[in-house]
Parts: sequence; structure tokens; C-alpha cells
Amino acid sequence: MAFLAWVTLLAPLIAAITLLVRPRLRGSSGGPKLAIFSVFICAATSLVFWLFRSETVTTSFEWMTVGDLTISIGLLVDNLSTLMLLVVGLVGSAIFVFARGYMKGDPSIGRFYAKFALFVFSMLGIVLADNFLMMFIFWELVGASSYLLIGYYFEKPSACDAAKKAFLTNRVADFGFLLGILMIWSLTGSFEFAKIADAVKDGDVSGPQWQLTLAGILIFVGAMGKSAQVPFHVWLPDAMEGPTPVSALMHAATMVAAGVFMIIRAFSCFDLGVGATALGGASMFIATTGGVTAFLAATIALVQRDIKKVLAYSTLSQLGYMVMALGAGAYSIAMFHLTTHAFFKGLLFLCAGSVIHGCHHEQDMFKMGGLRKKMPATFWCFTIGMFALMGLAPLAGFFSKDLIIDSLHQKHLVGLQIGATVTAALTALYMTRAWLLTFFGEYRGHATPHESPPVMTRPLKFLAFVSAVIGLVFYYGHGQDYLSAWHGKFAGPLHMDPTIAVVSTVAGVVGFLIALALYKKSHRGGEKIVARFPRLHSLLVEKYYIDDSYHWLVQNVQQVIARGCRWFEEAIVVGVLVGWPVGVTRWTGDRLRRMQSGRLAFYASCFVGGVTILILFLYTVAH
Amino acid sequence: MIGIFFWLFAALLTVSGLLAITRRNAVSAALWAAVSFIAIAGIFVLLQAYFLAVVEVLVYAGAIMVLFLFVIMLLNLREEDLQVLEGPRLHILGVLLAAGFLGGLVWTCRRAGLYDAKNGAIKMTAESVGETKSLAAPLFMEYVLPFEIASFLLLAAIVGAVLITKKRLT
Amino acid sequence: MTVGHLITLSGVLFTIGMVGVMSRRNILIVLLSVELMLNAVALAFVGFGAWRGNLDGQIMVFFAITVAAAEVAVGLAMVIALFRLRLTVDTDRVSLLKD
Repeated sequence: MAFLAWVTLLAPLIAAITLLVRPRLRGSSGGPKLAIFSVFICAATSLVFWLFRSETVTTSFEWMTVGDLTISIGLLVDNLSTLMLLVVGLVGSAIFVFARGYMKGDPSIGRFYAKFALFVFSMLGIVLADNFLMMFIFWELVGASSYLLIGYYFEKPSACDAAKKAFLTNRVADFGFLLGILMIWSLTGSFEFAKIADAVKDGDVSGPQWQLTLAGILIFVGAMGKSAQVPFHVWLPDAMEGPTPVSALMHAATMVAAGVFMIIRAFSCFDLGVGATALGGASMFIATTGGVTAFLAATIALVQRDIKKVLAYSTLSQLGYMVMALGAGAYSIAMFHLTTHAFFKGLLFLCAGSVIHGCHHEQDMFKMGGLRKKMPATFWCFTIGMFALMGLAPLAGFFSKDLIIDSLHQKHLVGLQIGATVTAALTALYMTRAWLLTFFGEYRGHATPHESPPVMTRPLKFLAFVSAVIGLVFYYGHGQDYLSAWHGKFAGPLHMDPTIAVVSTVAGVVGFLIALALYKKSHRGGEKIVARFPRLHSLLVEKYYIDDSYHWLVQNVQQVIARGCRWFEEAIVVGVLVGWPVGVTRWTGDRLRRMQSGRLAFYASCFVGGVTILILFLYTVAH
Repeated sequence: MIGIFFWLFAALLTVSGLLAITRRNAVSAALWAAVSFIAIAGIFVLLQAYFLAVVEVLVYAGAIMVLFLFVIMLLNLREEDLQVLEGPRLHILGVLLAAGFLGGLVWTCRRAGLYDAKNGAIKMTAESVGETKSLAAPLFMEYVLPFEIASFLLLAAIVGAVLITKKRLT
Repeated sequence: MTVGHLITLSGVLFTIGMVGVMSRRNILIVLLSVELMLNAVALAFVGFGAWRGNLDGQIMVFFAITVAAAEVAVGLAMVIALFRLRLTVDTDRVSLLKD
């Protein structure tokens, strides 16, 4: 089993390296096949883990020892990581296959697959890591490979900017993560999850409670970057500049889920038993952040024109749900939603990719329409994904989303519970709007839309099937025990309050009906509302001016500081501190250079003179 | 008797040495140097260093000077390549330095009492007779390691000389 | 003849060699001057050895002669290489490293 874990981790890396060092392989069709094969291996091994693993698999070796600090590289396969492996493996496989169709004809498809495989490797590293430090390394690798993939179309300035933005935003948040890791290390003396958990359980923490809370918040800040929570969410919509399969894999199914996964992994160390945690006030902060993100993102999604942007904001919103669940201490439910979301959001993104592909790379929904008849397979898959997202029973989202609202209810977080319910309505509204604009009415574009080839629709069908059944499987079947069984200490079996289910379903239906009323007849149905609330509309279009305020902040605060630093560097450091020695050295050098006459006789004379003086000195002084 | 020979050889050594460094023609410079080596060999004989005297004549006045002459003739220098001495300033500087050096040396020897007839007397004992047999014993016992190292040095010098003078390093 | 006289003679020869090194531009004569200096040192060794009444000085000279032979071989080889490269034995014309 341990060997299998290493295979899972290293297969994509080997594929990536092979693709990088064998340029000929990149041009041929063998390159993509190799990458796809490596991801299939991951999917297969994760299925083996899922079905046949009876206990936690651990394997590790020591990497380096510095003083008391021992850093090890180790893999940990428990219920949590198996579930995450399954998500990465299955969704990844579907997307890898899909990308072969989507990226067909791209001259550098080999480079694409190399980066893609590298990304999967980094992601698996996070999932399998058994200590914080290794997780952090792969965490940064995910950031780096996402930079590479978002900036895949590097000839486009906007793609480069988006890549930089994603990387830098993540870096800021990662700094919090690093600080959190170091803080935990100083508190418990270990990086390993198991040891940290033991230390916390035994109360063997060398610091007061507030420090532990602070460490929890710092780690959460790291997750806020990857999982795109307010105020670090700005990179995710821009990251849609990458190819659509990238958006599907990274910015819907796995990378953004890494933040949530990391929190679950990290916070399970702080769990003291059913419902209790050693983190104190951190949970409230987390839950609120999630709620704000969920609501803001859902409202922004209402006014987007780009189909991928709608899905991007929808992703933000759903991540907000997961984070709310984390805040409420319902880790298993957050993981459940993560799993279902990965499948249906991957599905939706791939459908969007299929639509974009069919419309010859048109992304504006207002230039689509009527695709229902031209792309039937895509349409049906999108419909399933949409209803799964909206939470229509018995599709996947119904269970996971209602369980999150239920967990908020149990913690008496009434405000968040209402917010989540309203957001459910908004979710239905913007998804239905996108659905109607894209697939109904008359075609408004200029291309000739066509259904995508089977290499693209087959993964869609696979994901649609999984999205349809996974909620049932988990709620009623095998997953039930599975989700509640980590470390044997997470809150008991999943069960849903029927009232809440009804309320949130009603909310969804209301959103659906409003969208239907507005957009059923014409794609211009929203204009009346816009005319009535112009300021609200511009507020949403401008994304609550968050990007602009960052821009202002950079322009007026950071730039001023930077200019000051530059002045300091040029005038003080270069001018005085460095300038003085430089001047003296240059002057002396100029004078001394003349001694280098190039005449051997002169050198010999100097030598003899020196020796003479030395001898005389020794004769006179030493005696 | 020894004193007379000493002064004779000393005068020969000084004159031939001076001539060796002032000759414009490298061939005559080398020949004068050979004469000075022979004078040194004479002084070695006076000091009972018979073996070294022979070696001095064989190796220096023989082998090394032949090598010098061989190279001089190989290069076949033209007359205008050979200036006698440097420009006057450096020339004077050199002589001054040399005079300072020599003066310091004499002064030190005087202070140490080396000119003193009793203190500075040279003891001609049986142990200090440098014949082949008496030199061979310490050379192959006490100094066997430096001896072997010297042989390696010579080997390296041979290989190095061949390598440097090869027309092109390939 | 005292040891002081020997050392002074050695010093005279050494100084002659030194002046040669300092003032000649023909690299062959510079090398020759170096040989003179080496011999001066050899003379000093033998002189001190005789003064002390043992053979150590002579042993030392034996090694010095060995080293001198090696030095001459390599030195002259370099002179030939230099002449082949620059067509000169004038030390003042070999000053590329100056710049």
C-alpha cells in the first residue's frame, strides 16, 4: 500500500519530466497520451485505496536534520486523503481526456500536458503529505504550476497579468500559512500532523490559548489564498484567462479545493472531540469569511457576461459554503461538499469549454443562445451540473449544501444560515440565467456552432453521471461511514433536517423561477432591472470595487513606500554607504594601477627592495 | 696557502660574475657564467666539498650551461634585440638596492662576529669532508624521502618542459 | 679565510645576480642571473656547513642543484615557447597582462 502511495504521487511527475526532457514526444500524440495515462494511474490507485484500504497507510523517510529539527518526507493515506485522491484522480482523468479534444491543434500541446501533469503532481503532494512542511512545499508548487498554466497563452498580455496576479495574491496568503506553520512548530515542536494532534490532545502546548488561535487563523489565511476567500478572491476570476480545462481542473475542482482540504487536515489536529476545538475564536472568523465570500461572489455572478466568469464566481461562492462549514466545525460536511462540488463544477466548466469550443472561442453568453439543439449532449450535461449546483434533489449539491446549512443551524449561526439560504437562491438565479442565455432562444453569434467530438463529450457524460449519483452514494451508502470516520472523532453520521432541506429547495426554486421569468422570452430580460437599479448594477459589475481599491492601495500606498525605499537605496545605500568605499577603492586603484608597468625588471626591483627592508628590519628590531 | 687560493677564486668569481651580467652577447655572458661556476667549484674544493665541486662542474658548468648555449643558439637572436642594460633610472635603483642589501649583510656578519678569527674560523674536521661515500650515507638514509621527492620533481620538470615546448597542445 | 669572508663573497655573487635580474631585459640573461644567485646560496650553505663542521650544508646544496636543474629545464622551455609566440626575449615586450 505504501508503494502504491508513492506510485500515485510520482506517476504524474515522471510524465511531466519525460515530456519536458523529450521534446519530440511533446509534438506527437504520444505526449498527451502519456500524461493521461499517468493520471489514470492515479485514479486507479485512488480507487484501490478507496475500495480495499482498511487502515491508515503511512510511509516516511527523514530528509534532513538541523539541530533538534527533523524534516521528513512522508505520505499519509487515510480516509480524508483517499477521498481527495479520488476527486483529483477521477476529475483529473476526465479533464485530461477532455483537454485532448479542446487543445487539439494547439502547437504546444505537449507543454500544456507537461504543466498539467506537474500540477497534478503538486496537488497530490498536498493531499498525501504527512507533515506541514512537505505540504507547504507542494502548496507552493501548486502555486507555481498554476502560474504556468494560467499564463499558458503567454503571448496574451492579459494572461500574463492574470498569472502574475494569481501568483502574487497567493504568495501574500502563503506567507500567512508559513507563519502559521512556524507558530505551530514553536508551540508543539513538530511539523507532523499526528504528533501535533497528540500534543494538542494532551495539552502539551508551550503557549497560551490565544497563540493557538492565532496559529489557526494564520493557517486559514493561507487557505484563503488558494481557496480564494474574500479578500484574496481577486485572482480567481482573472485566472479564467487560462485554457478552459485548466479552469476546470484548477480553479474549480482541485486547486481551490486544496485550501479547504488543507484546513480540514490542519484543523483535524486541533480537534478535541465532537464539536470542540482547540482553536477558540478562530472558527467564528472562518465562518464569517466564508459567508461573506459566498454571498458577494453569488451577487457578482449575477451580472457577468462571460460564461467562464459566471462559473468562476460560482466557484467562489461554493468555496464560501465550504469555509462556512469549516467555521461551524463540520469538517466532514465541508469535505463532502468539496467532493460533490469538484465533480459538478468540473462538469460545468467542461461544458463551458465544450460550448466555447463549439462557438469558436466565443465566451460572451450574449453572443450565444439556442445551443440546446446544436449541442444536445453538452446541453444535457450542463443541465445536470446546473441542477446539482442548485441543489435539486437528489443530485449531488442537494445533500452537501443542505448539510452545510444544517450545520450552521446546529451551531446557531442564524445570520450565516440566512445568508447561505439567500445565496442558494442567488445561485439558482445566476445559473439559470447562464443556462437560458446559452442554450435557449435564438443563436446570436456569428460562428456556426457544432457539437464537440466524442473525446470531449465522453468525459462530460462521465462527470454528469458521477454528479448525479455521488450525493446519494455518500448520503445513503458507503460514504456515510467514510466521511464520519476520520480519526474517529468527527461528528456522527450525516443526517439532514427536513425543514432546512425544504427551505433551501424552495429558495432554489424561487431563484430558478425568477430567472425563468426574466430570461425565458428574451436575453434582454435583465435590462429592466438594470435600469431600475443602475448603481447596484455598476457596483456588481465593478465587483464591489475591490479590485479598484487594491489598485488604489498599490498606487497610493505601496508605490509611495516603494518610492521612498528606492530613494533610500539610491541616495543612502548606493550614494553613501556603497559610494564611499567604491570611490576610495577606485581612486586607490587608479593610483596603484600605474605600478603595473608590465616591466619585469621593475617588479624584480620591488621584490628585492621589499626583501631588503624585511631583512634589515629583522636584523635591527629582532635582535 | 688556502687563503691565497681563496682570494684568487674570490676575485675570479666576482669578475666573471660581473662580466656575465654585463655582456651584450648572450653567448659570452653564458661563458663567463661558466667561469664563475668553475670558481665556485674551486672554493668548494677549498672547503673539502669535493663531491659538490665535481657536481658543480658537471651539472652547472657542463649540463646547464650547455643547455643555455643550446637555447641561445636555437633562438639565434639578432643584435638589436640585445640591449646591455636598462634605462638609467632603474639601473641606479637596482645598484642602490644591491648596495643596501650587501651593506646590511656585511654589517650583520660583523655584528655576529663572523669575521672574527676565532669565532668565524672554519673547522676542517674529518666529519665534514664531503666525499661521495660520506655524502651518500645520509642522503640514502636520513634524507631518503626528500631524495625520492627530488626525483619526482625532475620527472615533472622533464614532462613539463616537453609539454611547454611542443608546438601545439592537442 | 673566515666564515664571514665566505658569506660576504656569497653575498657579492648574490648581489651581482640580483642586479642582473633587476637590470637586464634579455630573459636569457635574467635566467642566467638567477643561476648565479642560486650558486651564491649554495656557496653560503657550504660555507656555513664547513663552519659548523658537518655535512648538512652540502646535502642541502645537493638538493638545491637538483631543483636548479629542474628550474632551468622548465625556464628555458618557457623561453622557447615565449619566443615562438612573440618572437622576442625582451621582458618589457611581454606585458599583455598589464592591460
